[in-house]
Order: sequence, then C-alpha cells, then structure tokens
Amino acid sequence: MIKPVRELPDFTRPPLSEVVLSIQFASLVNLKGLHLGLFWKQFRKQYPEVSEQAPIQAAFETFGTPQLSRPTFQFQTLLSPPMPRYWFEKTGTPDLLQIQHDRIVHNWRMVEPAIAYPRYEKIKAKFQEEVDAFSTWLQNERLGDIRPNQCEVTYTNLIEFEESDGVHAGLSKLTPLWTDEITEQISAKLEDVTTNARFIFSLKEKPAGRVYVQFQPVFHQSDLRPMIKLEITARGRPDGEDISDAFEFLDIEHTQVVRTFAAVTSEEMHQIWGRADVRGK
Amino acid sequence: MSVANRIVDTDGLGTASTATRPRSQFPNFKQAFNAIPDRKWQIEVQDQLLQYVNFKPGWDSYGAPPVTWDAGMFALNILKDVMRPRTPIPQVVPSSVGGVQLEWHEKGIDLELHVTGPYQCELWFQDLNAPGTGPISMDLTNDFSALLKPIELLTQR
Repeated sequence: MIKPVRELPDFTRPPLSEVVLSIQFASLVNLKGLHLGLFWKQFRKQYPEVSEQAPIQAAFETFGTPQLSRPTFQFQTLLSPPMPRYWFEKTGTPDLLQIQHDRIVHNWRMVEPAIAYPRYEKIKAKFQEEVDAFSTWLQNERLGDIRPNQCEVTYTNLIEFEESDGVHAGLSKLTPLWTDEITEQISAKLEDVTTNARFIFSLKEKPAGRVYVQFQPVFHQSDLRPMIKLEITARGRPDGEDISDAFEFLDIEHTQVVRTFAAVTSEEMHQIWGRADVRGK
Repeated sequence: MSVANRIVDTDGLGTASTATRPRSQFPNFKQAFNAIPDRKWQIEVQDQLLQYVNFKPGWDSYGAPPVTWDAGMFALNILKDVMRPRTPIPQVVPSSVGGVQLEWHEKGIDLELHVTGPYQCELWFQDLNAPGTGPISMDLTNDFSALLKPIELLTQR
C-alpha cells in the first residue's frame, strides 16, 4: 500500500522549465511607462535590462455560465496611449520581473540545465519582496494602491524521452488523460496530439478558481528534438483585496498545481522524476 | 482536439508566448485575424465602453468619475459567457460611481446588471409576463448562474 509521507507531491528531478507567479490588480490609471523608469532604479543592479512587450489581457474566472471560446477584446488596445508591459531581467539569470498597469509577474526560468530549481518558497519570497517594493513606491509617488483581483500560478514542464522517435505520439506513456485505443480503429498512424483539461477547485465549498492543464507537442529550438510541453495553470480570485490575501491565494494555487501535476502524469514517469513523497509497497 | 506543432523558445518563456508558430489545419483557407471582434454585440458594446472610459470626470455635472477600465473589461467578460447569437444587445449606461450598467428592457423582461469592478456586480431582474413573481435583486461576485434564466427568456421569447 502506498503511504503518503509528506503533504504535497515532491519530486527530486522534476522536468520543470518555468514557474510563473502573477498578481492581477485594479488598473493603475495614473501609472505611465516613464514612472516605471523611476521604480526600476531600485532593481537596476538585479535587472539591468528592460524591454517592452504587448500587455497581457486581464483574466477573470467566473462560474455558473457556459465557458465559451474566448474572443480577444480590442478594448484594451484601443485605450490610448496603451501602456506596454515591461520586462526587467538580466541575461543568463533565471529571474524575470514583469509589470504592466494591472499586473505584476515574476518568472523563474531554467535558462541553463545546470541551474537547480530553487523551490516555490524561494521564488515566492523574491516575488513578495518585489511586490512590497512596488506597492511602497506607488504609495510614495501617489500613483495608487495594489488591490489584487486575480492570482495565477503556472508551472511549465518540458518532457523528453530517451528515444527520439514517436515522442509526440507517446502521450499515453506520460499521462492517463490519453490512451492509444483510438489508433487501433483507424488505419492511420498517430503523429501527435494536444490535450487540454480544465478543473474547478473550491474553497469553503464555493468555486474559487480553475486549473488548466495542457499537453502539447513542441520541438527544442536549438536542435529540433521533439518534446512534450506540460503546462499547468491555477487561476482564481483571492479572498480579499490585500497583498497578503493574494499571497495566501498563491499558496493555495501552488498546492493545486503540484497535486494536479502528480495526478495527470503516470507512475512510470514519477519514478523517472524521483517522486520522494510516497513509499512503494 | 487541435493538431499543432510549435517551436518553443526554451530560453525565453514567459506568460506571453515568445516564439511559437502554429500550423493551420487548413492551409488552403485564408487565416482569420483573431484581433478583430466577430460578434456584433462585442463591437457595439466595446465602442460604447470606450467612450465612457474616456469621459472626463464630472461628465454628469455631479462629479461622476468615468467608467473604470476594470469595470468595462469585467462587463465584457460576463457578456462573453452569456450572449448568444439571438440575444438582444444590452443598453450600456455609465453609472455615477465609475461602473457600467448593462440593461435589457424588452419582451416583458427587465434585466439590469450593474458592474462596479471585477467581481462586484448587482443584478436586478423581473419577468413582467410572470404574474405573482416579484423582482429578484442580488449581489454577484464570481458566480453568474443567476443570469442564465433571464438571458434564456430574452433570447427565446
């Protein structure tokens, strides 16, 4: 009988390539790009490079109505002048700070295979430092307060197999969400498959957020070797509008992501990744 | 299930895709531009919201703020999930507190949804064709199942 040793699934060699922690907040209408240049001074040593990206559209998780396809609203881009999303980073290092008028994001990326995953608590601590600094600076500059209305945790995994043939068609080896039964019924060879799943998680017996799971065939950019990308995102609304509420909710979402990762991947892969929280028979 | 091969930039992943090239399943068809709204209600509601978001403070002569960007985005998000092809397009009215009111007054239905911000909504609904049933009034945060019946009535009548 398998006995859980620790509360959360734990892996010594997870195929993790990126962790993203994101807090969306009420739009800071007075914040302009030039202002962020002043804020950047506090982090310039850590993040000497700045670039502009298109802003990320606001996301909301609502329930009780059919979740139809999501059109892209032009609304945001027609507000003039639209404020871009700013990337603050240092080449070769894993951390990336992103800020736009209604969102602050911290990415940890495995920019080199030798970089060890620092674990969620360390990434969260860094992000908390940045959010607190941003909040204090906003108040000092009288540009508004951070009032969170959505939080998001994303874990991206890039999974390779020893054999390079048939990787994209080998999804059934990786996840119980897909079986190969259909290929026996058609006289055609499966080339690849993308699988999406969506779960609702609840708090205090009410829907609080969603977990999105996607398995997708990809190729490594440098040598085009085939891999499978597994992206798991937990997104929802924190219980209150304080920064502390947002970080509490990020913890809840982290738990959801890790449990989902263990649930949607096979035991065979868990052994390869060094699952440490369970003991076999 | 979609079939796509994507090139992933393993050096620069972020919350926005950095280097992906989707391959169309139907290469002989022209690709649609996803940025253009393809629903009439979306175009009309967006146009009105854009006007209201750009109002000057005091637009109503009593010091009302313009509609907030967040209220506008959240209103669009709600409509995205409930509007159907035959659902009448709502009237879009700015409120005096920076919110937006979505209203339908037709087919014997009075339905109003006041959105003051993300997850901050008030619903008011009455079916004038259902004698004996009084108006329904409630606050809505993230559960909008209460909208389904009024929208169904508006769409089907």
